[in-house]
Amino acid sequence: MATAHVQLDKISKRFRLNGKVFSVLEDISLEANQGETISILGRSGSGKTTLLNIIAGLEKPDAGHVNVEGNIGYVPQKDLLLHWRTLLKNVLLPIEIGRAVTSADVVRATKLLERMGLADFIQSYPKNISGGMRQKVSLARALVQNPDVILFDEPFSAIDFDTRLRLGKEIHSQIKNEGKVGIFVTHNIEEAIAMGNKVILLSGGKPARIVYQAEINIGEEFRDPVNIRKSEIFQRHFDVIWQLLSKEA
Amino acid sequence: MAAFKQGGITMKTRYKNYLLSLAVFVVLLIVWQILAVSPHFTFLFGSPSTIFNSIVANTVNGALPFGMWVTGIEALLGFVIGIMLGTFIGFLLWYSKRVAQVFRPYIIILGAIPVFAFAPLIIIWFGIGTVMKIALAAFGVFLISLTQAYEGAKSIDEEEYKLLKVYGASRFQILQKVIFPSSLDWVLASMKLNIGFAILGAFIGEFISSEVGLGHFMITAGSLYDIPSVFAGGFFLVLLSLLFNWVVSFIEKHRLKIVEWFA
Repeated sequence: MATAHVQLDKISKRFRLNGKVFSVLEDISLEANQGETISILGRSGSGKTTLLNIIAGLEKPDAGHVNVEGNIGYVPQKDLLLHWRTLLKNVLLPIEIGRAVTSADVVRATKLLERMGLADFIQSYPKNISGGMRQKVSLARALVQNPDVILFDEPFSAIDFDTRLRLGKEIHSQIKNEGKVGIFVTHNIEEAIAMGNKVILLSGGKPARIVYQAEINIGEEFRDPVNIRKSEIFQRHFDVIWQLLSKEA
Repeated sequence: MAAFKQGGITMKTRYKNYLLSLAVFVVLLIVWQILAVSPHFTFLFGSPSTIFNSIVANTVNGALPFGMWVTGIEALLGFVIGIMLGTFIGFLLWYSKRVAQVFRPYIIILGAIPVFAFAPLIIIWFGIGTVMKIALAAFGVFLISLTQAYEGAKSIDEEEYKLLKVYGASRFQILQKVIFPSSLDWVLASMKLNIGFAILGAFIGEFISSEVGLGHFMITAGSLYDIPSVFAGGFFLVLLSLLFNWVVSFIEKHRLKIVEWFA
């Protein structure tokens, strides 16, 4: 397994639309090491997803350098489950693309689904389960290949509050314990602080720049999804980010 | 208690509408039969009773079932070839954006021409035998299948495409795993649209030159002013169309299994 690492150095991205050039991202630098999760915060349309696409290699930056070490797993905003495949087959999709599926893969995918509380639905189709359950399957699909780097694009938007708290904690510990890198895009301040070892706030204007960057130095014992929200560090970061966002509004 | 609703219409209203449709048909038959007392009217339009007699007589002597079999086979082969070829090329156009751009104007031009206007060319290329009828049916079906498959492929969710790209999928794998299954509804819609065109193609082929088939049966009857037999032939064409529809509906019902097998 490769040593997971993500580094962006002075990334800029422009788009051309109807003959006009729009600068979307400007001078974005970040680094995530093994076991770390970086939360990227910003308003809708601030370029968070573009940044994620650049890390995923789907888009090339116009300036700057990207270095991603390790294979990538991706949890999109919409679950994007293929409705003609069972949950198990949806989870196995990334493996199927790379090579033939083995019985060990099926066991791994089944265990992942069981861990997500979906043991009774393994052979069901996506239309037969709820939005929250679908998002869990999407997460299992991202994890099935045991990726080194996991990209999350607002993955909890369709999930109920208590499930997102529990999943958030689980993802954070998994990334830390298994030495992965997590890049977590969200517009939820609480979630960003609770999930991330680092939080980056993108400005809402065009182009988006990093306006706030902080390490969240909370002991792992406080990473509990409920307790973290009571901690002073959490409150401090929340207040600063909230003030910055309010100024922009 | 509220009446059971399906598609915004209560079951009661639905049955009422069915009965009303049936009543319209029965009234039409009665009026037709009454008007048929006039020999001029009967000469031009026949009558329900003579049409019924012709259906029975030509079914018993095997003329209509055999004609339906011949036309059905020609239409079916043309239908399958046209659908497969059109769908394949439709997906191919999605596969290569450059090919799509190059061929787009030609497809638009071809789409604007009534396909059966090419019948004289098809006779030159394929002769006047069975192959010509199959070719006409296939040609009639081809363009709609192509357009539907291409549009279906283009309608794929950009996010699904992106997800598969992240997993390192090739364009062919995206075609196999996502494009084909998700555009199957478009292909099935094109199949439903094309049933009429396939039968029409085979029928026109028989109209041009044939010794068997429903087209041949109806032309012969028409040339003898045997109007009831022309209607009887038309009735069997409708039966053929319903049979095709039933087959397509069957495929539609089991499309999940087809998709699982392919993708």
